[in-house]
Amino acid sequence: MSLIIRSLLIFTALFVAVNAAVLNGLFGSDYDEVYKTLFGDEETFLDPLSKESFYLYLHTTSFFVTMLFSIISSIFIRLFDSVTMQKIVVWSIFLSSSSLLIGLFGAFEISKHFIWLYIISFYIWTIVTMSVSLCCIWRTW
Amino acid sequence: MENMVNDRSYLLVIRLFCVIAPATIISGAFLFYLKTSFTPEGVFEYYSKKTLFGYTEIVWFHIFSIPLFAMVTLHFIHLFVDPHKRGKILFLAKVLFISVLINIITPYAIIYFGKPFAFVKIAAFLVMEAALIATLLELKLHFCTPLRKKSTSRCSKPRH
Repeated sequence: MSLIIRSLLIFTALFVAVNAAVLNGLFGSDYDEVYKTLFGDEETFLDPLSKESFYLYLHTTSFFVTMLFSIISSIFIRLFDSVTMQKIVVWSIFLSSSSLLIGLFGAFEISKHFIWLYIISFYIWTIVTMSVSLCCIWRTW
Repeated sequence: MENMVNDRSYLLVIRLFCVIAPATIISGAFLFYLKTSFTPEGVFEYYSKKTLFGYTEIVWFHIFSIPLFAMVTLHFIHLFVDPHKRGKILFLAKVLFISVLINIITPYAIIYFGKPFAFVKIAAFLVMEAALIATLLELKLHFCTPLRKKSTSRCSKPRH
């Protein structure tokens, strides 16, 4: 069983790394780049993201963060006995995932200030999920 | 004792899953509304413009992801719920997987046979969304009462 879990975790860690690299190129990694992707840029003739494209991105992102939350949290609980650690990990993945989605939705629909929430929570989500995956890989080795 | 502790942590994961999972369902429904306006004309117009390859590109991702999403949700119920309540879950699972299958097939029927299948697509989509929400509600109703009661009475050990 540990071989199956380890293999899954290796691919999960790879997914999180590739996800960060791809989104850095597609969506941007700082406020100005994300702003230009969402709302376009007149100087460089960049079109804003259409409502359909935005909701498609939100839909796929919410699917991935939900699945990763349930998978990584369940594996962590199975591998680590400390209740405090379990709670910290579960809550930190959940809070970073939900604030990532709220930040993304808010940036497009409510206020541009939500871009900061999206960027910060994206970095935290990437670091937390990657760290938890690596911890679980180390534990199953 | 250890099992009970793990149960409580799993319950936390399930509760939080119930909070975050609707984002995918709601955004999917809104996306469908944006593209088709939830009318048979809109559905027909949207899918009849697509080529066979164009629609297969959409199917490619959804044919794996929706059953995965359903499996994870149903798996959480299956692990903890008492065996005598399995009939309800089995019914939900059947409705869910059949509606997913119809949802995936009907756009091909729209492309080849025309508008009548647009009604089927809307009906199948609504049934699928309702089944997904019912599954999450079943989870939520079962697990979102105080943990002290749960760990002893309604929450059995996970059956691996």
